[in-house]
Amino acid sequence: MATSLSESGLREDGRRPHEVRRVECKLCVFPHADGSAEFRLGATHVIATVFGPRQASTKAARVNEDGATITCRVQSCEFSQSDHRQANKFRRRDRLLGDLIAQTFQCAVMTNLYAKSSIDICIEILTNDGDINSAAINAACLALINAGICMKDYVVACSAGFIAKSTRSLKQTNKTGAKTDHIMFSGLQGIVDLNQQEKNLSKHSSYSSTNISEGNESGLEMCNGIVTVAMMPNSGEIVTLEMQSVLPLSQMEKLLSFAKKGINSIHTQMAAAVKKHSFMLLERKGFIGS
Amino acid sequence: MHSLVQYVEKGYHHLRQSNRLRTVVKDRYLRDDIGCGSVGCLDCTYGGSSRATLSDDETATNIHIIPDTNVLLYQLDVLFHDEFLRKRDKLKGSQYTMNMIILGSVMEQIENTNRGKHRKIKTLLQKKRPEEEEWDEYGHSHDDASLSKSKSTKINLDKDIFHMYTFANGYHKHIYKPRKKGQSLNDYSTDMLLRTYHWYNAHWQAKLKQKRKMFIICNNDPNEKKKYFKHLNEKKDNENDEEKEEEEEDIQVLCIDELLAKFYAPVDEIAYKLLTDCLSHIVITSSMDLSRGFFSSSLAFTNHWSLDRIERELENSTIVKGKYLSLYVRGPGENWQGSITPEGHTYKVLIQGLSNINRAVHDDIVAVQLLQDTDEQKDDNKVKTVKGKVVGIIARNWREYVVSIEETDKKSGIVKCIPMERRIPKILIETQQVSNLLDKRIVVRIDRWDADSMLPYGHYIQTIGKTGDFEVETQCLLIEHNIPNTNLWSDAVLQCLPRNDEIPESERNNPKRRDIRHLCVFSVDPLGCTDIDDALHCLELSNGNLEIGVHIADVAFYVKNGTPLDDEASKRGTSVYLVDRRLDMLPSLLSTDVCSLVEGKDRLTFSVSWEMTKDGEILDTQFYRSIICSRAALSYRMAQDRINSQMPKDDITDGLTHLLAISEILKKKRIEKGSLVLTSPQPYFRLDKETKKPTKLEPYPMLPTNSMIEEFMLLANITVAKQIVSKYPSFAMLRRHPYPSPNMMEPLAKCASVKGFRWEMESPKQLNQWLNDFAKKNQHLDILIRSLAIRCLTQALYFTSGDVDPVQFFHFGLATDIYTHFTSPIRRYADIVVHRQLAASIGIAPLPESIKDRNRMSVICENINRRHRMAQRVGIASDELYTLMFFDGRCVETDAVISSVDRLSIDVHISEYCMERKIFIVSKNDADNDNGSAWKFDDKSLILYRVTPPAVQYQVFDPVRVQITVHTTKATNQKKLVVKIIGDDNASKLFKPDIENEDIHQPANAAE
Repeated sequence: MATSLSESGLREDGRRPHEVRRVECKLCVFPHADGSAEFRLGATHVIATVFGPRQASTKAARVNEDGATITCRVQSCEFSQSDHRQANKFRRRDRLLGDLIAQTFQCAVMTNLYAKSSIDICIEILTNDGDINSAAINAACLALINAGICMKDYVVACSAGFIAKSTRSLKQTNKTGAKTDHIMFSGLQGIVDLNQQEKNLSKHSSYSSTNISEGNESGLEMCNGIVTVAMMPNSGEIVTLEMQSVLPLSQMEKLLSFAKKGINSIHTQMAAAVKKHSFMLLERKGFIGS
Repeated sequence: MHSLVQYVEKGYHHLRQSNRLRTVVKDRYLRDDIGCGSVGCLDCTYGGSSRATLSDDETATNIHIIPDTNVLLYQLDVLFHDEFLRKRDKLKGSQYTMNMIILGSVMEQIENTNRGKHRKIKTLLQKKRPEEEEWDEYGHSHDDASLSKSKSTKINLDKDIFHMYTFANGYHKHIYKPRKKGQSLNDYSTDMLLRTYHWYNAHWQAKLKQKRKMFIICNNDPNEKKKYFKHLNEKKDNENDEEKEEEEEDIQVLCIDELLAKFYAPVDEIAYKLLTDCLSHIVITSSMDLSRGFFSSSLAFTNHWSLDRIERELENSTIVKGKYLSLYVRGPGENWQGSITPEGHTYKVLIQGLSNINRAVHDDIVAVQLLQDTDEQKDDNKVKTVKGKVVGIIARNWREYVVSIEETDKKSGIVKCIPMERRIPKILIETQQVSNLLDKRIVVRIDRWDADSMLPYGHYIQTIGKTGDFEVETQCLLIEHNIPNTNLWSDAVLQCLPRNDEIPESERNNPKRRDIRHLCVFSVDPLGCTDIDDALHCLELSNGNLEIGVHIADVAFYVKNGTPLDDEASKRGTSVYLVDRRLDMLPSLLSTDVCSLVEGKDRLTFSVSWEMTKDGEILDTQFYRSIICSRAALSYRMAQDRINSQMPKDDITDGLTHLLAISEILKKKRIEKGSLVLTSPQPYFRLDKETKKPTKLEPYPMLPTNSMIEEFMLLANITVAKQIVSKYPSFAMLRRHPYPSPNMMEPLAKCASVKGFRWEMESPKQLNQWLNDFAKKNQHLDILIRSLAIRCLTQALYFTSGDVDPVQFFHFGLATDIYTHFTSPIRRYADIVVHRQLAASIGIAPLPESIKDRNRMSVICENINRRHRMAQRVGIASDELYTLMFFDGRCVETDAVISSVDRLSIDVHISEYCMERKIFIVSKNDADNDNGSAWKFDDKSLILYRVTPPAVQYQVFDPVRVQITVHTTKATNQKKLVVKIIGDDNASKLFKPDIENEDIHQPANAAE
């Protein structure tokens, strides 16, 4: 497995460090839902459906008198992962992701317009090739737009992280005499939109991710902190920021600026898809001639 | 934005270790914005073009070569040779410029087949490439900044950039084609190579309106070359007439030796010969074939087993596996033998004889079949040796060897090389420049060792210089010990250095740092020492007690954890001291200025101070960071003179006197506890200032002040060790000295019995007692027996406290339960780590995460242990080199003592020059004589004696008179120190000087 940029500055899959994977989005894939969208980020494939705004079920514990309650349920298909694991293995991760998405849109949707109602988002992960969090948020955003729910702005998410420019491995003999490889990194390169392979890489060197020292500028040995940022691209407000590893503060800004670049590029494509869909609707209604 | 074409690679199945099937789906983005790499190609000014390095010089013919997988794998030494890609046009007036295009697909294939090589190529590529900025901009940005950037690189090009470009053809829209079903990997790779070749041709024709000379380079094997044409023909057959008839452009394929002959031979004879020598002989050339019959004999080796078979047999544990350590020493009395310690076992397998060693070279991982049953011996818990035979080689661990060429009349062809390392067999290389290399030290690498060849084949890499030259010999030592010979530092490292030696204001006002500049602090070091890392003070308190402080340079303040500087220091691990130079661990600004505690300058330190009674009882211990200003930087001699003189007392002399008194008490206590007094005398050279030749050689003088400083450093180290391990029991960096095993002490016990001493050794205290008793009875053997004892002990090691059972923290030599290194952070990396841990343990600095990591600490420990060992060895080797230089042209007679005796030889210890030499008494022929050797060896009383008259006998500890001279060996024109026994008339007649015999037992010669 390649652990760093290739000699010609390309990543393992041929992208340059700041390029996102191919984005493909489609609105209204399920007509019977209030809103639905399909979002592909490279091989990652996610479908979102939105039901609502509708009367909040009385059974639901929280009925918000002033605004809407947004709920989100995430499901992974068994075939979404490269190894066929049982679905319940994903449950925890999916629930967390659901909460994350619900929280994200709680800020972005103008909930005060939909008092006492609930908006339910349902995410189906068809293929996971890394960065499902961003893909799910983007899909949900498109589905909400498709459902005609008022939002302050688009919510676009993208991940960013670091990859080693080059690596050297240290051979180490442990007590049993077996040799283990310790990967040391030298030089870091910010990359955008990590795929599963790049993400795994950071898992493999898990010790290195806890290994980020104090805060001195150049004192960064290695870090594979991956952030997922959801942003409202027009206002530049960050809605969600998710990170699961340690990162020196000084690197954070850098990482955010990388993520922002990715978000902008995804945003243009999402906006284009919405525009295209809207024109199609208008055309169908006969407002504009073909 | 350039078009990205997503191509989803077909998923492949991958069986994981857990036997679970896993399908991997990969994206591959194909793009058309990958530059061709030519400087002049304006259409390729994508982001990647700032890397464009292919020459576009119109005054010369540009030759572009594309190496294929095999040539890149095996001919690295040629392809990345400085001569190969040098700008020939300017230097030699040639009209050629060599450009190399390395293909991504080729690199990919190498990565799949040979990870180590791949990594090596990558580092080589990085080295040959100009420093890069981070890829901050989008790859495809067209803004002014990137353009100007690419321009500036272009200007740089004219300097000394190599015309080397990595072309990611695997991601190119017009080149990439997925592998067809059933197509072999090699075919696919050939296909990709050809597609790229055609693309380049077409691209340059279209964009630059010129046809460039382009060659595919393959290994020097005719079959390799045919491969391409065959492939092309097949392709032509498939795409017959309906395809456009453009396919006529023929490809040009050259073998690497053809390439050299075509472009280098007519222009630059020397470079041509040099490069040809560097060719690795993967394929047997005709000249090598010829020499085979010559060198091989009936003694040809048996074939190695296949790896599959080895694996199978290993599983059945019919064979064992381990690292082969050669005991073979060239010289008279040589013996082809080596040993392995099988993984997971304690017994040793001895491998004797050429055919049993079966082409194993020192350090290889080998599979060994035992020649006799081990079971019967296992019940004995003493380490046993069994005999074995190498049946296969699991991994070669060949490195680059420094050799010199054996004298020959040939002008060119195959010659024998004699490695400096005596455990490596001679190596055959093919060279065109024998006369050039004859009296030179050169570096070679082994390529292959076939069953029908007595010696391995290798190829030449580089020349170091003339044999016998100081500089060259020192270089050789460094290369052999794998120590980077450089006091140069990368820019990243230099940027971490402070601007000047002023202490930053913030640090002066730091409340956690004590200002103790008012104290009378001084340092005592060897004469001429510039990296002073310790200083002391001693103050008499009002209550009659003493306050003693040890102040160590606060290197950790300047070397922040995780910086490139820190990284480099941890890689180097230790400063290396040679006779005439020092290779620093830290840049000299730090080691000799900012951190060095020089006289009269404010310096940052880390202090340990004790309140002690005048009887050396410690009442209180403190650790703190401080600022000091040293009053005096003394040498040992100066300090001693101050103490001895009856001059009016001043603060410094007072302090010294107190310290000396306390240190004597401490030393006494330490020795009572069982600390060993083991001094092996170090040779001390006086060098001529200009020629750097040694003018005087004497044992290093030891003064009471030496041991005074040592005593306080030991105390500080122990105190710090206790502190850090109490705070951080799982990752404190400590140093231990394991107990020697009984059989390690065997030689000492044997010697003792000769002198009528009973041997008992359970604790260091007993050993010490024993040594003292022995020395008392045999005054003249004092030094000798102690240096013998040192040799029997194990080496002290750095370790992480979490890795070792606390019982084993024990330091045998110092008889202390716990020990670490704290006092020399300028020259040892371990001390820097300890400084960080100590600072954190007393709460004045945060503990860096990386230091908490046990795994990482283990890696660091292992590295510095290795570096330390190497530094020690190279130091000894350097001493030996200078001893040789010293005796060059001299003939000295001196007294010596026999320090050990074995079947064939005796070792003599010459205390006057701190050296120990082996003298062969019995020649090999004599020893193998069927009628019984003229010499008999008595194992009990360690006597080697002659049976036939005139009677001569050598017993251990006998005094002898020896003569030391320097001879020049005929074979390699190398100088060699020769020690002969004289004074005993009979003895001197009995053996000839051993140099003449040196090569008699070389098996290759025997074959002749």
